[in-house]
Amino acid sequence: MKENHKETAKPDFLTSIFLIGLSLVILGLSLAMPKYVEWGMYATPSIAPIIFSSLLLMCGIILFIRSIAVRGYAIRITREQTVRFITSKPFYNFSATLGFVLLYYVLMGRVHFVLISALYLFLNMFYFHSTAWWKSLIISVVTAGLIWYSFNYLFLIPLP
Amino acid sequence: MKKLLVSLLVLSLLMTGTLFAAAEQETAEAGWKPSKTITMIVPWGAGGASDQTGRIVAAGMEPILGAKIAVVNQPGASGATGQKSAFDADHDGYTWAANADASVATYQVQDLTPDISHRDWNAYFAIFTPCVITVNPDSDITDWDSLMAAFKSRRVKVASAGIGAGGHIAAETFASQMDVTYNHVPYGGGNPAVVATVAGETEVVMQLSMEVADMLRAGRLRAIAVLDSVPLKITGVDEIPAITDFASGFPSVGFNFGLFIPKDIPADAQEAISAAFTAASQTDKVREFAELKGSVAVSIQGEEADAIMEQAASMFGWLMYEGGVASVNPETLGIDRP
Amino acid sequence: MGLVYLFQAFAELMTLSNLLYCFVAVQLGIIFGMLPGLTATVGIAILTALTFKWDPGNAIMVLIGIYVGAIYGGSRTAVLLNIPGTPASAATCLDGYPLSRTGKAAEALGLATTSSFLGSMVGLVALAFLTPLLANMALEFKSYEVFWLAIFGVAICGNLTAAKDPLKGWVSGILGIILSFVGMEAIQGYRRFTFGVTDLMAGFSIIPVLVGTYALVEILDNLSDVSTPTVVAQVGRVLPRIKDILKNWVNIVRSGLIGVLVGIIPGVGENIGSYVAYDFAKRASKEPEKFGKGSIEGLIASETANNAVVGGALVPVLSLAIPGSPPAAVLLAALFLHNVRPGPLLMIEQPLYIYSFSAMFGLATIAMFILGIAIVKPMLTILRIKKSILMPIVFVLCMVGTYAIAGRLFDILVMICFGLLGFAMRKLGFPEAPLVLGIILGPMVDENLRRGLILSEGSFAPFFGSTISILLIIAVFFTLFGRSKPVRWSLQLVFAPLRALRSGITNRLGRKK
Repeated sequence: MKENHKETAKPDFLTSIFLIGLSLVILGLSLAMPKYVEWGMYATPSIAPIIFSSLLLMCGIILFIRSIAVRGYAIRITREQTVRFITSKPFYNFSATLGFVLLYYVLMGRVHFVLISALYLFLNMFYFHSTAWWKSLIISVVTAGLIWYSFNYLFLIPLP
Repeated sequence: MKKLLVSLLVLSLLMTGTLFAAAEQETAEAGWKPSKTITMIVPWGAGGASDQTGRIVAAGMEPILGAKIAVVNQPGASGATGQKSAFDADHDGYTWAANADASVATYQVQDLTPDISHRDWNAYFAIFTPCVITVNPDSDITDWDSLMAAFKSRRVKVASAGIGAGGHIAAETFASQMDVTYNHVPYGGGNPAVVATVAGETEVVMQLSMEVADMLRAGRLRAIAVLDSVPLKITGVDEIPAITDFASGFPSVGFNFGLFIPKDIPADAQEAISAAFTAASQTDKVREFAELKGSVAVSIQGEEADAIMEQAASMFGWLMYEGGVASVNPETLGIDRP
Repeated sequence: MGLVYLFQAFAELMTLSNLLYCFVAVQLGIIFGMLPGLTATVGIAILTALTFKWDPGNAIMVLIGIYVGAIYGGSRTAVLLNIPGTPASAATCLDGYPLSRTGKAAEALGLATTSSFLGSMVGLVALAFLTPLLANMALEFKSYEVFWLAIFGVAICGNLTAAKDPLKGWVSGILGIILSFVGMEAIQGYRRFTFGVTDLMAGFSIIPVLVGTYALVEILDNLSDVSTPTVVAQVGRVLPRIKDILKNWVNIVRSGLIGVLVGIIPGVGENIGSYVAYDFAKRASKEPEKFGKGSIEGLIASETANNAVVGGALVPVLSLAIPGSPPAAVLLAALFLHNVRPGPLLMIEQPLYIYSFSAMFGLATIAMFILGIAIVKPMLTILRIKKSILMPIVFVLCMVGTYAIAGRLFDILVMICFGLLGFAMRKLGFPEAPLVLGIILGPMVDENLRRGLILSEGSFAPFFGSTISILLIIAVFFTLFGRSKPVRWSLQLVFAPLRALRSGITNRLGRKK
């Protein structure tokens, strides 16, 4: 059980600080909500946020204490580790995937659906070298077109 | 194997396509012919009063306009979010909203859509439904006199569909006209409010006749009066007396449901929609629906509808502002005091 | 007597066109269920529009088929890709996906199909024979009782974690609840945490959150992982052994009953039923440590319950015209549009209608089973498609599904943000299932607590005033403290005879086989 916590001690330590901060912010915002409403104190919109942000605060503190107990604060992140992480393949892939997703979102509604969807699919498959580029292109266009057709005409859900 | 899967998928899609494709019907001679699917945004959940009215009218208008109408439910924030996105779309006649007069008329005073006035919309009303005072049948309230006695002697629990909803406005009007107080219990919609009264959690509910008709028919609720100047007839239920029989001068509290389309769409589109609505709102299907739901089928548009909107804005806007529900002074928006 | 009516109604349905409608509808429902974002609610709403001009009998058959199919269909992607197609299948991911990772996808899909079928059958029995009895129970759940039910939901968050860390489960659940408070609340219309942003007024709806935290996280995770994917050889049979089913009969009956009960309660739906059944199964299991790592019991519990909810949710629809779940609300509206008037009057005017309705439900269930088993093998090919081709396509479907739900681009942004949150949570060891449950529970807790206090004018006493409330409070207590020693010891004392009885029955059943 303890070993289990040790693995994630460092991130837990940071997360717990984040959670404590977050819960305090929410608590503050909730306390600032109007209290005297039509019915009296007990029906104020802040009652549930106050309860649950307090609970989150409690959980955050427990997590904090637990990570301290396994010396979570002592595990250092070195510069080399950071550099290695940022230059690692998973991080590149993650950024690329996320970048495509964001590009897709930004263009959504501005460019025709089939066009951006096909572009998105193609970019992804091209980046990850899934198959030959012409195969990727065919798959992209056909999929995007098929989805657009079935939603617009069969399900009657207009797409942007 | 993959081929099999793909062909299965394609096959089932094709099958549904042919099965569900309604027969193309010939277009009317209207000048404006929609070239793509029309979107109707219902800013409330599926199954509500706006939704049902919208769908039934849309189904009637589809063959006349010769275009498909896709209904999209976009609930949230008392319908303001959906109403706003209908307004934010291009004003080309291809995006409509289905809502109620009182809601659209008060979004601005509630500061929900600060930049959109109720005057920016053309309203097309198909269903009128008045509010009805109903009680749980186990309650000791049986008629008007016992109702008044109950309100005078204790804090009666009155359910509503939420702040600013039909039942709340009705209860507020009732309280101020009759000079009584009550315990307002808001629920997340008309149906839950009615159910709470049927279950006995609350004693009284003043929601729309549309929402209580079936419970009245089944004897799960008892009607005391309709907030209108004429009695209400619902098949299978004794005629519900008008509130003006007991309290003369009581204002009518009722709501018009229908379509809302921005005023500045192209004129030919407006003409075509207007004609299609007139025909669609007078079909038997709409009449049967109104009958079933204890409401009245109407067909109101143009200046008459504008007048109803203005009246709703003035009556409900001021009521909400004075009740502390709305934050914007209606006067600053040029809405007259009723 | 009722059985005779049911068979009669069933026999009447046996025409070629009815069968065709039913199978096509269920297949379409399964597709809807599989597509992330498109849920049973949306499916029924779309088909209501499409079948508007149809003969009422056929239209209602189609709508029921869609409902049954969509709730079931969500389990397909949950098992294969760890992406629940609908919120109802979120609990199925917990065990279904680990099973398919270890090469038991066929078995998992078969089991899920069989349990869905059995769950549906429990629902059918409730719908056809117990409707008058159960309908009145629906009205017993008022604000106080629903409040406690929601609290019970919060309490089980700690038990929905694969790793043995209940704390992280609760953190995730509470975070979900707090996030659900964003937007305009229903009691007073106050805008909480919206910071003046209009789009936030409607809050975060469940679909973008679900699609983000499951589908997008899965996509990001799969695509950023460079290790060459090892294709796990899929072995195992599709149809589960009868022995396996018999071994789980207690679990199936229990989950089915939980599903029906949760379904009956107005406004609570499939989404919660499967979580509750999963939690109960984990507690009752002899091997609770397997849960979250590919437990057959967990998979059975979740899938049985979410399909049993369908039957349960239709009970108050027919008898009181009160929907027990969001899809049932749309179905109810559709029934009205087709001039079928469910409600208390239906039981008096057309007492036999309930049997023809149940028969349609039964037919749809059978269609679901046949189609479900038939497509297991073809479904497995999905696992053989390269991740870097499949995942982008899934994402396009996510975009479409999220957008389709309400036609708002903002929802897509919500989906992406929750995807990032979920990704961070996964890397830090916080489970995503409680977050989704929290989003569903948040408004339930908030509204019912405050409404309860409004009803009682500030007093807490009525919260403890009914048998159902007390039972739920006891359940919450055991959920939170059931594992501590003194409580366990005293439990053992009470339940030891019962357990002995059960294992006796199980053994006998097993031997017969």
